[in-house]
Amino acid sequence: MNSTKRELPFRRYLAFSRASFLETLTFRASLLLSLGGSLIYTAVVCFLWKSIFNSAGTEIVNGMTYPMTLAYVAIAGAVTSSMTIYLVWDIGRDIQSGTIALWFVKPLDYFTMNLFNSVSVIVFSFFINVVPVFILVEILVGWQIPFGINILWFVLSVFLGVIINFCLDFMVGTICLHTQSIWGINIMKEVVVSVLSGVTVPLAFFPDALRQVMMFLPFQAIFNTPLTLMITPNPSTELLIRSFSIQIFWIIVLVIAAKSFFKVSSRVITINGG
Amino acid sequence: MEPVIQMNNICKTFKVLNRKTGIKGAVQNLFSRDYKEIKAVDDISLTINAGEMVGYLGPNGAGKSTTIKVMTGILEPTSGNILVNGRVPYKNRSVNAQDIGVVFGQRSQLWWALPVIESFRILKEVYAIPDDVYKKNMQMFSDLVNVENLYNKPVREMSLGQRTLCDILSSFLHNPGIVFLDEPTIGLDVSMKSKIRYLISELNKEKGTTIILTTHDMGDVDALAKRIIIIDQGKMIYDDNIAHLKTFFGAYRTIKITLPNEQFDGADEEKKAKFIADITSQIIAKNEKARNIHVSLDESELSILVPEAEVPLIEVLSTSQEILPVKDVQIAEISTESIIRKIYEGNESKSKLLSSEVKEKAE
Repeated sequence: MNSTKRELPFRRYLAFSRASFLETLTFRASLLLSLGGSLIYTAVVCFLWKSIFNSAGTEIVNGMTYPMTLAYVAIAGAVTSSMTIYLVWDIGRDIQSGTIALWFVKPLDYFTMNLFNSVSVIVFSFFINVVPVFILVEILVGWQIPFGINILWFVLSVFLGVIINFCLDFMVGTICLHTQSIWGINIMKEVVVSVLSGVTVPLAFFPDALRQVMMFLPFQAIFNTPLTLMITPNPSTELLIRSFSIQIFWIIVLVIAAKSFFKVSSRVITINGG
Repeated sequence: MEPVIQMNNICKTFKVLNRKTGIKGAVQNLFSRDYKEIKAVDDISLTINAGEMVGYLGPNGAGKSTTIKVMTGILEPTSGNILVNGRVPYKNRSVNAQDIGVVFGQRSQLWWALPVIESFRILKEVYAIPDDVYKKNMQMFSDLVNVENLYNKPVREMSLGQRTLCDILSSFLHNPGIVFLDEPTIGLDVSMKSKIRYLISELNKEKGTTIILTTHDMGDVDALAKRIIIIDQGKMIYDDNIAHLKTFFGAYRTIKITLPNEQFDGADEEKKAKFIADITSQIIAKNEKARNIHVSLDESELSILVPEAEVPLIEVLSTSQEILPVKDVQIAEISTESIIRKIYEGNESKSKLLSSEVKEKAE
């Protein structure tokens, strides 16, 4: 077999994107249920924040109006559910069952393979979940969320957020190579991410000092950055540059970290046995 | 013949925690630094040439899988050196992977939710298989085993046999030089087993692929392997062709003599034992060379295990018919299975083994 033949970079990995996309399509019921869940969540946060704003007695709380807050929280929920692809469980299961050996005997990079595998599912799931929720939110707030270039920035920024989230998930999954167990550590990760990334409560509602600290962590770059870009009608060039450069910075750092952590960890199997 | 796999003095040790039991022990385990070393592979050297079909045998936990993992580059050996296709597998895992195919009988490399043809397409991309090679192989697969009707069936809906068949085919798709088959026929029915054996032997013939086969099914070994390697407790204990195996561990055959039915009606164990001892001493008295025969009795069938290196079978047979009322006679070959079992159980006493061997034969 001629392995030196010129080929498009990543071409062999695109097959994985295609496969996982096809696999997702196979399970129709699961797609509908996930959408149903997102819509119900939207209804819940709608009433929750309505009562918060009513009890506050002002139009603007922490610099955010009710429509902005609802859009932020509801769409964060929909984005989260499209990003939830159980990568950590998949990696953990690969490791515990030893299936990972099947990947090691293929001419593939495990990290890249998983990335391509995940991204197509997330992109697809994004359209299934986020678009209907966005429309629902617009109806609920009477079309007050701007619909223009901000959506493009949002989509672009979500995509970068997906990669950051992927790296974090991949690292947590890799821990399984050391611990052989993933349950506790994943629960902890999910709580940390959902609080520190702004999914549960918008970062604007956090105390100043804490928010400053959170801005230096990668978590906010997953959800807070794209959502802020979405609800800001006319973002300044400075905000755009800052947002995207922080995201790209974290991608570079985390890709390197995740890949080297996996490389070091896979020596654990190569040395201590699998 | 050029060697495709060359292993010199390969050792692989694992560090495992000395685990204590009970709640107190479990807590202590959290802080324990008390490791012991386990030698999974102990000083194994072997050379496998291109196109060979090798049966790699050993009892459970003998170190077979570990050796396979070293050869495929998943594990790094603790010491010794290894070359697969002229490369060190654990250092060039990705490059090595392009040239090998692996099937783990208990795991599938196929995409569970998708029709199997999709898995083939994915693998085509993964190994960057040129279109013409892919087409040629697919054609060959359908000539060998009739599988086209399976192609559109999702893997999760397949029977274990169909899945294994597809798994084996998929491991040959990229024309690998070496294919590792780890228990490919585990859990399959008789007809599927023979189909899979046929497929493996045809692929080996047509493509000249080197095949390393680990199995517990001696039917696989008899049908496929010309050379067998046996390891136990990490050490290699046999490496030669299968025909040699039977003479190497002594050629034994069993004479089964059916006695008239009424002879032991209502006879107790003690009487039977006395009869056996009696017959044994009578045969030995008539033929000095037959001192190592082993006689056992089951209902009205008498089995005499004959070590042929010491005494010709025919001599024992003629002696027996002089002293016994023979109704019928049958001569049973010792099977590969019982030889391998004898090797696995090596440290137990010989006579005990032989008698259990005879008993099993009678069943």
